[in-house]
Amino acid sequence: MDNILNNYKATRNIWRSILYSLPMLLITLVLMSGGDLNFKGHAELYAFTITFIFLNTCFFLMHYKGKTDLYRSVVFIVFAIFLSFSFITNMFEYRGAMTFNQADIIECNVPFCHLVIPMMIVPAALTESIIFPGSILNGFANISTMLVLWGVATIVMGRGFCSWGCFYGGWDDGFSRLIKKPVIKRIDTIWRWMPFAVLFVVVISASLTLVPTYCDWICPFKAVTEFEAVTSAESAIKAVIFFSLFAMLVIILPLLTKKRTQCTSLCPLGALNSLSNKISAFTVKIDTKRCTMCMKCVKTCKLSALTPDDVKAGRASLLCSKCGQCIDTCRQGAIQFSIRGFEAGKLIDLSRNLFIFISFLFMAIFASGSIQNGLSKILTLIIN
Amino acid sequence: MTESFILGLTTGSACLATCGMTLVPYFVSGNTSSKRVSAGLSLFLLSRLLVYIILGAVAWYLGQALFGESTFRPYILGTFYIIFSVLLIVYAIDKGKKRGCPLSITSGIEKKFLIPVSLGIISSLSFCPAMLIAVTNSASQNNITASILVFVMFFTGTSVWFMPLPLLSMIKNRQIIKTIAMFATAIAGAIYLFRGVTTIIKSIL
Repeated sequence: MDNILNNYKATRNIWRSILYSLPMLLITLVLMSGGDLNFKGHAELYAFTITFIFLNTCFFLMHYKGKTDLYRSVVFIVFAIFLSFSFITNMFEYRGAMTFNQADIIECNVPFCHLVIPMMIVPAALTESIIFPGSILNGFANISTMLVLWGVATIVMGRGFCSWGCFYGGWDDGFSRLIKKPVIKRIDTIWRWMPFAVLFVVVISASLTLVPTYCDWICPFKAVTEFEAVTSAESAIKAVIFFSLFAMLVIILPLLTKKRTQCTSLCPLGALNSLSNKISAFTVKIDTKRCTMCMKCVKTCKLSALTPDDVKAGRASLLCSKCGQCIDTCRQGAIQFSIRGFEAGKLIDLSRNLFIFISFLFMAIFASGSIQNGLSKILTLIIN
Repeated sequence: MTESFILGLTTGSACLATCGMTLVPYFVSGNTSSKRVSAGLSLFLLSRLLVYIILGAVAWYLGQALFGESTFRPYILGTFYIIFSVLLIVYAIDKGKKRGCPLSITSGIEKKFLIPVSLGIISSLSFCPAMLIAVTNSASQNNITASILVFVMFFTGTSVWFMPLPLLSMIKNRQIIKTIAMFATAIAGAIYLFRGVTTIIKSIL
């Protein structure tokens, strides 16, 4: 077994990794700076530098060490924490509170979130209106930008969006990594179909009531972004639901099971993204000739996207988010990223290099703004 | 009214998952012509609608008779919502218990015309928890028209699932669809559980 790992060590080359990382270095430099390297103060300069080095080091190591999930998860978790931090501090700057009120809804001042997308599609088609009180073109989280980013990402990566682009996924991913062995080991795989039921119910209810019901009543991530001001019994109950679901599905259950339980058993966008896995350009395939059926990949998959049947069939299921953990775990090197249409075992390096370049770039574009913003605020506090 | 439609639509999938395969052989057996399938399906749906209209009227009468002007009305309704929604959740997630479809009792009927009618009547009177929630919702209305409308909307929501019945046997991943349908029913139960709790809390406050 060790021979296979040693083979990778033998083929890895620092110059090849540097060459591979150069385009990422240049693109992130241009995108993060916006072509202007004049910073308002030291805090902004340091935040830019730290973020730039952090992202590019992770990308370089991803190629050099041959580990995908390890470095992806570092960026993904940091991204989630800084997104919430910079979002909440922004809310305090603009509104003076983490909550929004009816005036913000009427003035369409609520920042758009990608979890609304499944509920928007049918009402938008039927009524030509968007059932979310956000801005279509203005503001730091406007509807059109988010829609374009999500659309492009899902076509290219499929459910990969959930592990490379979603700014909430890092929360339960992070908590699921805090303890070494799971306390709850057996989880019925039936729960992985729950998000499809949630998707079904919220699409129907949103279409008929023209209210984004999931955001209004269920979303656990309201606890780390913004929620309706508690002014009535109804809004108090909503707040209780948001915080208890966050505690349960994002903290406690990921800790006990080592699974991303929110993503596996609740998120309706995850269900929608899973459907896009049918058409996305990249897939995860298993070379059944190399596979020893040890099932480590099945145990390790955080989204329960792999079952013994999938392994025997030589492909990840519809629910795969292409996080790369099974690929990192497999000591036989039997699991690979693959370009749709190619057999397992063909163009392994090209497929991986292409996939992680595109996915990491997407994550870097999304994450850099939040990390810079959050770091800049922390550094301003320290420097001043 | 929208609520009843959503209730029908979300729980109807579970009805179809439980009874669909009992209904399929009748609607698509052997050399049944499409005209005959349409006629059978229409009779089935019409008899369901008729039973639901009667149920709506009965529910309104019961609502008026039991708690018409009572000050305890929101408490009673809230309690009913809680009980029936818990039953609905248990009904959905209790996958260990094998539930037989009540429609199988029509197998002894020989007259072909009576089969879709009896299938419609029995499926409407199955008194599953979703139906009991619809009864509670209907009983809480202020006039008989609204009570009947609750059931008409519930009927419309559930009927959406029965329309493609003849195509059911062509679906491949039936077990996955059944699982999703059961979860959707449990979520509908959770929504009504919440409704029951808020009804009681609001009346206390």
